Amino acid sequence: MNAPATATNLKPQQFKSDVKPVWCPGCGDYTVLSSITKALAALEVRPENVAVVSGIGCSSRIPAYTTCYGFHGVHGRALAAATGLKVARPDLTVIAAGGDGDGYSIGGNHFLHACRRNVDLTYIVMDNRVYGMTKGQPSPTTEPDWDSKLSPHGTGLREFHPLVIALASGANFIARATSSDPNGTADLITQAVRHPGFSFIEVLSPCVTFRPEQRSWKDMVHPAPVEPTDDPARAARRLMTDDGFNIGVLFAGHRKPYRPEASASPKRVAELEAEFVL
Amino acid sequence: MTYLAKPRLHHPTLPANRLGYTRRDYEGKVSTLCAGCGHDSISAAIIQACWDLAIEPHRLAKLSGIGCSSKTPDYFLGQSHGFNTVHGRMPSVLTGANLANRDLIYLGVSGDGDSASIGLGQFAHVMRRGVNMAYILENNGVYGLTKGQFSATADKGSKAKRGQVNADAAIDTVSLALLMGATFVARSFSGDKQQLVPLVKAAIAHPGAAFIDVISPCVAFNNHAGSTKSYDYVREHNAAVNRLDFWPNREAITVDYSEGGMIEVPQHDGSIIKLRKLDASYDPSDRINAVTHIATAAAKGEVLTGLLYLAPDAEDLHAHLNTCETAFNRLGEKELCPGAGMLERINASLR
Amino acid sequence: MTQAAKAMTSVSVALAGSGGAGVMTAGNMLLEAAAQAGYYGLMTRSSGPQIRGGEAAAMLRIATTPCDSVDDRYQVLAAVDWGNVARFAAELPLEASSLVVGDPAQGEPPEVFLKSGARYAPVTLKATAKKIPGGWPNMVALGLLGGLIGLPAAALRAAVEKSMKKGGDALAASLAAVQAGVGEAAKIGVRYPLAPAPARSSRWLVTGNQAAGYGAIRGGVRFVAAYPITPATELLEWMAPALAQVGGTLVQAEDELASINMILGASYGGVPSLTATSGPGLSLMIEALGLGVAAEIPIVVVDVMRTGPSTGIATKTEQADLNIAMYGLHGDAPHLVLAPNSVADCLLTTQWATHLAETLQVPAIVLSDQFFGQARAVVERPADVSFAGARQRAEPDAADYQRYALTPTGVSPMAIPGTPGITYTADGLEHGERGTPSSAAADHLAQMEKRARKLDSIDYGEHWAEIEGEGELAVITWGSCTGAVREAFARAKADGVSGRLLSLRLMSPAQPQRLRRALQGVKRALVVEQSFGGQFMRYLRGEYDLPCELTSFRKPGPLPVRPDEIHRKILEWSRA
Repeated sequence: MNAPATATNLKPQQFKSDVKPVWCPGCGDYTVLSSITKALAALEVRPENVAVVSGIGCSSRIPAYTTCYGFHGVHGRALAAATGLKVARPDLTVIAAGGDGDGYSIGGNHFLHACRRNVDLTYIVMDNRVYGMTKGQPSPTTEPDWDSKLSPHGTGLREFHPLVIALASGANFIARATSSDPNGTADLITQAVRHPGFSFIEVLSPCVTFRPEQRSWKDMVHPAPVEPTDDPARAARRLMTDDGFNIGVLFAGHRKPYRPEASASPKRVAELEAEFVL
Repeated sequence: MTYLAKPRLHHPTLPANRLGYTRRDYEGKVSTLCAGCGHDSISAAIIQACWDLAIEPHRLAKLSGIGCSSKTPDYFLGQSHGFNTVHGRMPSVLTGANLANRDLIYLGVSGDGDSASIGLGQFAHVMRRGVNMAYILENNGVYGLTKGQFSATADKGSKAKRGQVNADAAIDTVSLALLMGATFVARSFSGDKQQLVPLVKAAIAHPGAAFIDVISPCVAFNNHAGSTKSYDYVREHNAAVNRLDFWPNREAITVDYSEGGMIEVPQHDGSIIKLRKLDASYDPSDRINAVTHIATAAAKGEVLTGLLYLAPDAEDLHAHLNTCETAFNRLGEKELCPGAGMLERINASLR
Repeated sequence: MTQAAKAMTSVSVALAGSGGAGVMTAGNMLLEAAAQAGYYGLMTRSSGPQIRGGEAAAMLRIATTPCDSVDDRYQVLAAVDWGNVARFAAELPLEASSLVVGDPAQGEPPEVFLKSGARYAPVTLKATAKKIPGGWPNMVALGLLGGLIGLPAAALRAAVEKSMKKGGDALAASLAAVQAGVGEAAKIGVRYPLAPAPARSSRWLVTGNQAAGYGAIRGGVRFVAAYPITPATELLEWMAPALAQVGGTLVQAEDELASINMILGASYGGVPSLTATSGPGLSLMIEALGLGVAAEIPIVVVDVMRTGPSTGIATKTEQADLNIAMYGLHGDAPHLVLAPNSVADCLLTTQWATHLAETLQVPAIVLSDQFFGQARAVVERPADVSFAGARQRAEPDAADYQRYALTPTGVSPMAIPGTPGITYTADGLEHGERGTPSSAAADHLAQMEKRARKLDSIDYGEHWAEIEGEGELAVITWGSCTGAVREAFARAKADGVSGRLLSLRLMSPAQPQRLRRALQGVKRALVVEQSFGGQFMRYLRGEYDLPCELTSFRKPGPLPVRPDEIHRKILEWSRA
């Protein structure tokens, strides 16, 4: 809110609001917030031209922690709101952000269709494989045998593989990042925003409260040993055999972003009634 | 939704299956879909498959959502249980039904609008859960019931009747089912009875989430060119109205081609769909190979048909949840009441 | 059978047949011909849920004055074939002086139609059509009906030519078939001739769905997210090309959950936005409507009501979404609910709803219904009204900007993304004035009061209701029942009985003082609605302190409320 009106080069700090996050100390989402602000500074955009859109969940609180325009909507529908906003206002940089429960369970349908529609926006999912805000239930990315009050002895269900699904649904840019590397994540977000069409970044962002074992993720992640590919078949093989800890851009395609065409024969509003006149 | 009763009299020479049922016993009411609709051929294949398998009609439940295809359970297995549910929500209703009574055979019938648009989230999660069912998607790439909007499986670049070009990428339900963990994944064509009937039988027999995407041409709406004379006439007649109510009759499209072969099938609208039947040597037990195969064929503009994937070690949701062998709806007080000893222990724990 | 060949001021005819037989096409042409000849008219449709292969009926009323309602009886029922037409019998009441026309090759008319004592005239529609190369039975039926009601040949010809612009052999064949139909009509020996057409005026031929779509665009809507659902689809389909021509956009969403959230996103971006749906879709949108209330984002949702609950009868009308529209939102969530009272009024009401939503920064639900949405009517050109989007926007770099500032009116200037120095986060979480989430009781109370206050901050003026007539008797109604009530009062007037018609357009916020004033001097009021449970009656009892005795007249869809039912009730009361 304090962005100087004339500056073109803002510091990451100037994208951070004075609202105190609700997150637990040590939560991965703090560094994701830093990465977003770093990326926005690197992109040389101004906060009023950026909208951060989210649903419901711990990570979905993120819009208010930036100085950008924010939209904290209903559970699972961040991508729908972001789609409407970007189509109506193509001049804005639109970033949708949220968690695994919001994005892959209740919002799973919109996730698939957003990949398919390929509107030029960036979707950042902070995946901690748990519903944190409701205090520890399994999400679609939770391991089948993870014990919880709601699903004792685990759900028994195969995990949802977001990157593979994103690829199959037509996402134009797919990357995995880790909250343990804020600068690397900032760089991936920067690339994602610059890439035309729907860009998807999955960020491994541990929940230290309900999944303390995820602290070890920082030792398990490693740079993807491969270059980004634009071949969906290669990417499919890569993603289906991936260990879940490869960090980097894993697919960058060339699909044309969705942009409704303007009419070749614009009319005044009153001219529309001609078809009714007798 | 039909008011014509089929005659109950059976021709004495109609062959009966192992249980003594004739094919007529597996039929439903008279279809009210457009003449030549691929969905009616799929209904016929389901009837044939169930007769072949000698399924007791009362042991099968057919569930559907909303749309043309979701109306078809009225047109087959008239003596089985049916539940026409809400738009896009058939998978969750079927999941609940299956959990309550594992003894029935579950047939999920849906269309591309129902499964790939409003219900895509449910479609994905029901495959992931591995619900024991045969899920048949009657895929025509268009919303017929609301008169011709694009559905999510419409090919990118295809044109709707009103001329809008579809700008969104198509959802390939077969790839999605594979990636979501379905343990039986197949694709067929409504007019290929030789291929479709065995697939339906195998899907019913499969002990897990079985999915068949059946390409099924829409005679009324998926028609770009308007080639026939009568069609032109009709179009002119309808230029003034906001809703079509006149269609020429069409014949159902049928095909017959061999394993490994490719066939170009002209559709009602004049477009052509290239079907490639899987080779006899194709190994359906490799999930990654299946995905690559489909992608490679798609790059050549071909649609692969046949059994694309079959998990050798398929399990269903009941196994995942470790439920008891008896169907839940048959458990009586005797099985469910933990007894006085348990009550005493609970009481003691609360003191 | 004696037939008074006296000229009639209103004639109702129906054309039925299997779906795909072209009865709607012929019905539309008949309406067009009547319009060309200078008459008013209304065409409603009845069909099964089949794509084709079911049965359908085009039901027309043609008159010398505007038709806001269907009539009590049909003078003519013609059928291209009888198929399952009998299942519409309840929607096609006949009387002894009616005429039933059918093709003898298609069998006898169902007994249910002849029970009324109507005369049956067999006409070989199919064989007559077959004699003309390229001729179709529906065109013969068009000529037959046009002949029976005395439409000029030139008007019929103009209607056929207008819908077959390509001309050629097909046009010639259709014109010949129509001519043959006129000839068949002359042989029947019964006619239902219309009185001379009234003086020409500026008129439209329009459906309620089109009128609503156009009203939205006039009100400033430039973004629409759409998911198809009967009977709202045509509204969205009309808007798709229309919006593109005026610089707007329509996106087809993956479901209703997406469409409502898309329009919230677009409107948050500063673009007036709308979606249209029917009952099941409205149910899916309710959660996000709550977000619109809490985050103060204006949107318009047009609910083209159909018979419920659940899938119900998707192709038929009912007024039973009033409860969910008024009270379906979770929490205390003040919002706007409006209802058009005629086909033409779908324009004004949707335009006004857009204007109010934008002005007050609140979601508006417009309760249209299948009757309005899919009816085509010849109407007087609706008056131009100046309602257009008027959202208060915040200035760039406004000092100490607070998105949810507690202003006296409750409306606070909205920051639009792209405007520097006043960024904020729109939130469904309760918040303080700045927009920062807050769980403090004081903030909750202050923001609740703000959101409630703004709905009372403006003068809704004369449009809140239609009020007509004087007297100690009143009928209070809404939506598509209005036309039948108006006609009932017109008939009662001829009997020397007068009364007052009140049709509510603004359902929420309720206007108790205004209704009280409007009912001054009224001793008894009849509440007319098309809902089984009496939703409108309960609404009136709950929202208003009514100074008179109330009686409920209600029935569920899909059968329309007909003028005669209300007329009889009014007479009964006047004699009591």
